[in-house]
Amino acid sequence: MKIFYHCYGGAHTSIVCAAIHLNYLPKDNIPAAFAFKEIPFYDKMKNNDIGSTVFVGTDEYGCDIYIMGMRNGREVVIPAIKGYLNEHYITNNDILFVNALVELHPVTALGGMLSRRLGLVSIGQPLTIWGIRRYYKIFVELVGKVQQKERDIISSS
Amino acid sequence: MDIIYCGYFATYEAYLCALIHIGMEFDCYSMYSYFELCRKYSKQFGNLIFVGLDHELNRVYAMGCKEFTDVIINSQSSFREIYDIGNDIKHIDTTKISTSLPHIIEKIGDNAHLYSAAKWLFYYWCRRMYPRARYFVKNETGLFNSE
Repeated sequence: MKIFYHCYGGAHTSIVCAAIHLNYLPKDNIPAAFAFKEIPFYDKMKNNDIGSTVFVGTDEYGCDIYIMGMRNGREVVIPAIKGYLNEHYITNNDILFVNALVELHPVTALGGMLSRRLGLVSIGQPLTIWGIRRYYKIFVELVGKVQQKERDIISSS
Repeated sequence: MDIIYCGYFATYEAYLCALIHIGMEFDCYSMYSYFELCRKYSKQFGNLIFVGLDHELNRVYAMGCKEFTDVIINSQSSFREIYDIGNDIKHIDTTKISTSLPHIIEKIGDNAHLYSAAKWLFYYWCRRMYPRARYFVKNETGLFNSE
């Protein structure tokens, strides 16, 4: 099974969810700011790479975890991916797309724009981390639901 | 190889280029059916529309990507690698030759009173776009080089 966490740019919320999923970040407390900076690929996705997938790791059930950015076009991008796979007789049953943009702090959005679009990393990155830390529990809850669904799918197959 | 013509709409430029690519000739008699087809399938965003096989047996598709053409190109290329799909993939971005007319046709075509105007605009668009699309396909794919 493959799980794709996707967000706007594939640089912040999706990578945080993937990191929580893979236990790089804790589920029981809010990590310090430096812990986010140490996550591989955090605040790294370039603007012209949006849409590309990045393999982050394999979880305890053997599922591959990826992240990707879709801007705000997931209603178009996801059918395009599934359609392409269908054309090559690859079923979508083992693919799970998870929207990591469930709740986005405005400060994270601002920081993301400063860092990724304007290249002001030193100003933008701390802002993204500040916003993500405020909503950290929401991401933990989301990952918990995804892992529950993952267990259900695995046990039913 | 899969050749995918990407446009804002699934039809109009993307479909026209795909038709030219597979060698379909276009005449005034087929314009009305093409107009109907464009109107019917234009909003199939993200769905691959199989148009046919070209002379090298490449599969030619048209796809509507709205303004996410670059995102879809990256994502399909990534999934090709993840699933180790043997077929090469080539995306051709037809937004380079697109005009605003298809948007206007789509808008006014929904209005029953303006349907004829939409059809007239479509014929105008077709006549203007066909040579441009043919030149574009020639440049992008190297087809018709013997002409």
